[in-house]
Amino acid sequence: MNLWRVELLHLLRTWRGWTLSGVFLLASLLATLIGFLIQRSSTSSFTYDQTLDLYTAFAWLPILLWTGIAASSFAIDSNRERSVFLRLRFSLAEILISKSIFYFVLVGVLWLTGFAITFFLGLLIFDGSHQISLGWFLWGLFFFLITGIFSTALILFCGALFRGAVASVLVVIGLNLGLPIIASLLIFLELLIRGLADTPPVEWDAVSYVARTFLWWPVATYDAVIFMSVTPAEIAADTSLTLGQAIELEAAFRIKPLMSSVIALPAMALLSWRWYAKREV
Amino acid sequence: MTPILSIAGLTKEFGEVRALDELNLELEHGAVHGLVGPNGAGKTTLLSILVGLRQKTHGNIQYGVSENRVTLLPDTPDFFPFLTTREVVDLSRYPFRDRVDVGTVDKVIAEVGLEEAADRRVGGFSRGMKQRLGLATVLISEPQLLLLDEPCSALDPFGRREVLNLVSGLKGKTTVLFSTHILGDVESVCDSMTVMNNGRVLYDGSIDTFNDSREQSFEDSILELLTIDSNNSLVEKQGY
Repeated sequence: MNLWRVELLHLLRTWRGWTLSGVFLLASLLATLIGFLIQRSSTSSFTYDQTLDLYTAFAWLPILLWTGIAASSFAIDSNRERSVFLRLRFSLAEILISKSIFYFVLVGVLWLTGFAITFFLGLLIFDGSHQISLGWFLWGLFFFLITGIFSTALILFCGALFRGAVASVLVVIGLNLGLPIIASLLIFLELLIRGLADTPPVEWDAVSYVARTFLWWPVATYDAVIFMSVTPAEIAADTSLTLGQAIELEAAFRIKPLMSSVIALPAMALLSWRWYAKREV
Repeated sequence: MTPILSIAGLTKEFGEVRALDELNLELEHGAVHGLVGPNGAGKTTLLSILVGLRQKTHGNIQYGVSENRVTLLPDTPDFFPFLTTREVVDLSRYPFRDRVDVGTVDKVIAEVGLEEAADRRVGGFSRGMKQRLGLATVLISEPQLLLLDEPCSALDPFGRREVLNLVSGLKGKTTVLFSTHILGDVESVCDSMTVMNNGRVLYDGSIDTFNDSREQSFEDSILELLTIDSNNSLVEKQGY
């Protein structure tokens, strides 16, 4: 028995593992089902890569659930006795590294499994004549992995900042869910004041100062995950059509949050380490 | 012979409160040493500092053994509820897997009387069972200095007797620092003791010497010692 196995059993023997797998599967099935309903109700054809865009959007809910589960697991000192048990037997590095890698791999495997299920279901049900571009797929995958690493680091950071599991879970979810909502409201307010309220959301990044500022928030790298389903037709048009919005195919898209992720990650890891190590149990 | 534990001038402050006040203590190899005192005396703080769970304000602590051979059993041990007894003990063995083989797990589980619950998940365990499991998790590491924080507090009289027998059985092999409220346990198991109040040492020495120097019973003598100290502290605080 080791810490890796403990993490795995924590998922498999409690509601966490099955619920999380179920919700990722649900996101995949929902994307396919909605695609199917759209295809039936419209005359234009629905392609499998569009179900992948839908999955990318729906996968936010399971990611939030994963965030909550991981954050409660990182709150190692919320139960003093269990904390004593762990800290007296394992070094802080062993505890935190095993948790960080485990939860990063977990979200990666579940998300990509859901993506693969959506991909194969989409190929079976919808028009599969286009092939998605491998180059853009890998670029999107890279952004996905960066988002996963940053989210894990953010959970670690909040676990170090707050002793209690509830506070840590709420703050992490609040940052992931609340920040985009607050950003959207502020952008809308700014555009309203400037008389630009009818600007389509796809142009917000170019027009709004607030939007440009919030683009530095590292989790915005998740937007670039849409590159995982770029088709040759989209490459030819130099535009990716995602959920009805045309986004310019540009490799530097979301480069700002990528830069802030790279800068923030080591700082967050160091601070987390310091706070966990200094905390008295 | 070098003491297994040597503490000099150990002080711990929480804001303006002095939980430990210039504490000195030495433990010889193989001794079972009692740590006696009322709630708030500083016993748990002392044990936590000794294993690095809390930081000292100042003072010196020196071990006569490697620090990974020092371990603590907290007063109300708790474990991951989704693991079985065998898994918890095996997890405790993991850091010491180079010198403790997997066969020891079942041996230790039997030693603490949990063999029938070896494959049960610990989530449904009573406090007494958790206490026994806690003992198994510390014994598996074959510690040279074992710190027990009120190990009998949750046990019924039979369980208490078994734990005391286990502790007695460690005499000569493992040094035990045994914190407890139950004065009778100290008298029956320990060779020596430290009586603490308000973070200060009131007595440090052998049980026999303590008993020989007093006319009252062991329990009455300790209670008298604590009462006198508390009264003196009150007088000091009021500035008389």
